[in-house]
Amino acid sequence: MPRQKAVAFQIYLTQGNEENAAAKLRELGNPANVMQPSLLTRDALPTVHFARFLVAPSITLDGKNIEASILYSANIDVAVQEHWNNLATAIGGFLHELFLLCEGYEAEKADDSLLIQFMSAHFIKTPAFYIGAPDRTVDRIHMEDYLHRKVAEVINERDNSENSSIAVLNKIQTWLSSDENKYKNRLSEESSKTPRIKWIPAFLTFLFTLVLLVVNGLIIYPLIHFFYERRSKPLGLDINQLNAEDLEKKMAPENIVYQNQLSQVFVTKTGLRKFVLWVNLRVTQILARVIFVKGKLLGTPTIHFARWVMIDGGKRFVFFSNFDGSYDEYLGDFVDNSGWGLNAIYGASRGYPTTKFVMGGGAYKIGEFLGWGRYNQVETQAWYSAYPNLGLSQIINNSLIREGLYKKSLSEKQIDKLLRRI
Amino acid sequence: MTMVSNPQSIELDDIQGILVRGYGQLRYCHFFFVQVIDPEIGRDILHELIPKITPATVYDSKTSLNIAFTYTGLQAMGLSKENADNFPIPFQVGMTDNVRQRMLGDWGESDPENWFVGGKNGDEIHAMVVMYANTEAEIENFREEIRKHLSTHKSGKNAIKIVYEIGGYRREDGKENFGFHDSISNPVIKGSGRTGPDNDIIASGEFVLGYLNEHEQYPYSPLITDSQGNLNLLPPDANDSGHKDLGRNGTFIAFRQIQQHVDKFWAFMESKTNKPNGETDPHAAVKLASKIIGRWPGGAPLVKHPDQDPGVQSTDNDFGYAKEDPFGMKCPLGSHLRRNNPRDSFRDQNPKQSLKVTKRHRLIRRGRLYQTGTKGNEEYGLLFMGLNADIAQQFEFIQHVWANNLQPNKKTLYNDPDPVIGVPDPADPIQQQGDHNFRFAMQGDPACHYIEGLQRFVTIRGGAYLFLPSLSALRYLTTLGEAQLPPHS
Ligand code: HEM
Repeated sequence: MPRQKAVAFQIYLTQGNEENAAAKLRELGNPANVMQPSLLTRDALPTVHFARFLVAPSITLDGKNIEASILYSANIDVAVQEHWNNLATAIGGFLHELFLLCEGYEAEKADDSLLIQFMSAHFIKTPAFYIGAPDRTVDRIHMEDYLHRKVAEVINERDNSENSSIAVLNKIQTWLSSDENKYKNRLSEESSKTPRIKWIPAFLTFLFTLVLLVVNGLIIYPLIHFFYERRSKPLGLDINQLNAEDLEKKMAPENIVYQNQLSQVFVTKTGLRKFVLWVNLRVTQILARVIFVKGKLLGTPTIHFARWVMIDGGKRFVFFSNFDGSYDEYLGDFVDNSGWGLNAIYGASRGYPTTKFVMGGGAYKIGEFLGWGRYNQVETQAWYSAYPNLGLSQIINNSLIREGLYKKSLSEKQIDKLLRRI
Repeated sequence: MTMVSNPQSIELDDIQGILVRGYGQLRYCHFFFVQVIDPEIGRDILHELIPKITPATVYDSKTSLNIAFTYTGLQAMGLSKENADNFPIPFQVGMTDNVRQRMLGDWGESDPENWFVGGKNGDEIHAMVVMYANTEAEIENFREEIRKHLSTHKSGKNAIKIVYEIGGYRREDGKENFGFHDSISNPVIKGSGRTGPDNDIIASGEFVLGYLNEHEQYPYSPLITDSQGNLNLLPPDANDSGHKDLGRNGTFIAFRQIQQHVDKFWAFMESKTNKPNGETDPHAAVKLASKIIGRWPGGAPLVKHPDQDPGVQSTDNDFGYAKEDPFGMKCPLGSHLRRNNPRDSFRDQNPKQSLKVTKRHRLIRRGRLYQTGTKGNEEYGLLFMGLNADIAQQFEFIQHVWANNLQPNKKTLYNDPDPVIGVPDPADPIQQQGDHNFRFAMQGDPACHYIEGLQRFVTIRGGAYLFLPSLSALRYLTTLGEAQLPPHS
């Protein structure tokens, strides 16, 4: 199965170019909005699920300056090197102009190999990466969406005599085998498997997490609780206490298409807190690979992807995500389902609502949590999604429909279940 | 579920009646939307009106008066900008703000540019005055009495301008204009003294500021950080910030004037249920419409009566979906009822978790019908008020996430917004493909049936976010002109 991969780079801007870079990136528009033309399109980049460019703002941290930088992140179906190639081919001219604002880029004119070299040199790792619908290519997601729509049309045309599950399934099968459209062959070529929980690794992970929890619970979390949290300074602002105009600006690009995005930049706390972040990101990464493979992250079914990346050598870290519905819903949902999971990671960011023994408190103070989240949100100047109007649950459901339809034999119960999905 | 008692624990005598009562026995109502031209006169007139305002303790009055303010309205009464900015952001920016507008889906014909009240081009509104009475004659008298109060002041100046007014009523049979029994399901405020089904008794702080909500926290409430007026009239902040709480015992109202296209609604239902020979089939049309609403015209819930209208008037609200109808075979997952309150069957969550989530997004609805226009050119609709402590998490959440989006249910819905109030997505090419893909999914055995080409049966004609203060907060507002005294210890 093809694996969806994470790719990212961070490139520092030369001094004074923070605004210029932001303006340049805005030229790409909001490519997820299908109503807006952009350089980033599915034709140009057929193996990209999601991509974003943004400027991580400069800050002064404990007396030292951290320069502004350009962050790029994408979810891709191909190898990283191939992706750089594709990117250079698709938007080389644009990248050249953008990189002229950056440290260490010297090129007279757009040259693919130089661009590729420059991007590779600034590649940064993604320590934790959750994918809502893993192991499907962009192409497959679109084909399966098409399949679902078609099949829904077919069942809607049934007449009164076709009133048993078997009859309806036969009707669909007849259509499938007679359909002459271009999708048919491509659909059957591409694997219809959906990822399963891998039980042995899952069990090992479980054991490992258990041990970790004991160590954390008995030693590390009490240490943090008594020695770190007491001294931490929460931002302490309810979402309603943010500047209304600022909030408006952050919300302006949202809720246009069904998917939304979030980019946040945090300052990492130090010492044991940073260590716990490091550990918890790795645990998240493992869990995302072996357990959260069926469309839910700790019970929340609307997250297309979530990723955490350390930047500025670990002084700051970022969170990037695509999700369905609104920001309030997304984070509210997460708190309803598993606020402790948020605490375990974001507790390491400065200004986070005070936690209790790392897992408690924090996000559960919902108003303050939403406020902290918006406060740390940064503008995503350019955002691309290959399927901006498809919800994650729909993508997962579409795959299960296809998987069911291509099964050799189905019990009556399975047929009923399959038909209920359509 | 069982009906449970719910002893009084909130300060009903300080709460405006409309928050706790729907005034079903007072069939007629009237709304004034006003501007306060001069703060001093505004305060004087409010002072005169306060004794007429009905507190929630009174349940057998012949009339009822309630008053709510907008963000600009509070400032027009003399509240400082700093204090007004302590209100929640959705209330500050208002319903017509671009971001809020997009969330609510108010575009096309429903664009606030075209609204009759509260819109982008019309007069700014400062306050909404809601009156109820028993008969047409009585509402007329009461309305005129209040009008007189608003327009006469000892200074001789006419300082309150009525910029819009509209009358409303409740049909004797409790039906809204499409013909369905409405106002059946409303949450019961914990501590209000009213009984209700177990799952409908919701933490007071979801509806009344100053009390704990379903997160077991105090909802965000406007505090006075800039000393003005007689602060002794206000209670302290429940969160112990040391500031006075202007919000306690108050709440927020999302008002919407919603036109209903009744003919279009029924023409659609008929066109989708014609017999093979082309004749209309009234029974089938009513059934389809009931599937869309989630109750039969008389109010009987589809979960309990999936196939046939039991033909009785019903206010039965004692049901869930998880056990009775997990897949929407009886009451479709996308029906108006089920979307706007998925009860114990939210997504694929177990009933307990589901109720935990849905209880954080409930709304108290106070709807009245209206009819305007001239003969042959009537406009029918609903004067809708959604009361809640947190506009973003309740009214907006319900409209945006549950009605306009695809979220709420177990079987994932596709391109099907709420069939009554949902808005197809202007940026979704599939939903915009003619009328092919704005549809209603009717789950069934052996397979789903899609009703294609769903249309919009309502148009938003006006709206505003308002603050419904407690009686003590209203008294406080009348003192905003007073010189500052040091507060009592
Ligand atoms: C003209 C517009 C509308 C019509 C005709 C309408 C009609 C109805 C009807 C007939 C019911 C069933 C009666 C009941 O259970 O009380 C109902 C329930 C409900 N409606 Fe509406 N409605 C409209 C607008 C709205 C709006 C704007 C909202 C919120 C944004 C809303 C939210 C609800 C909720 C929450 C319920 C109760 C669901 C439950 O608890 O089971 N409605 N509506």
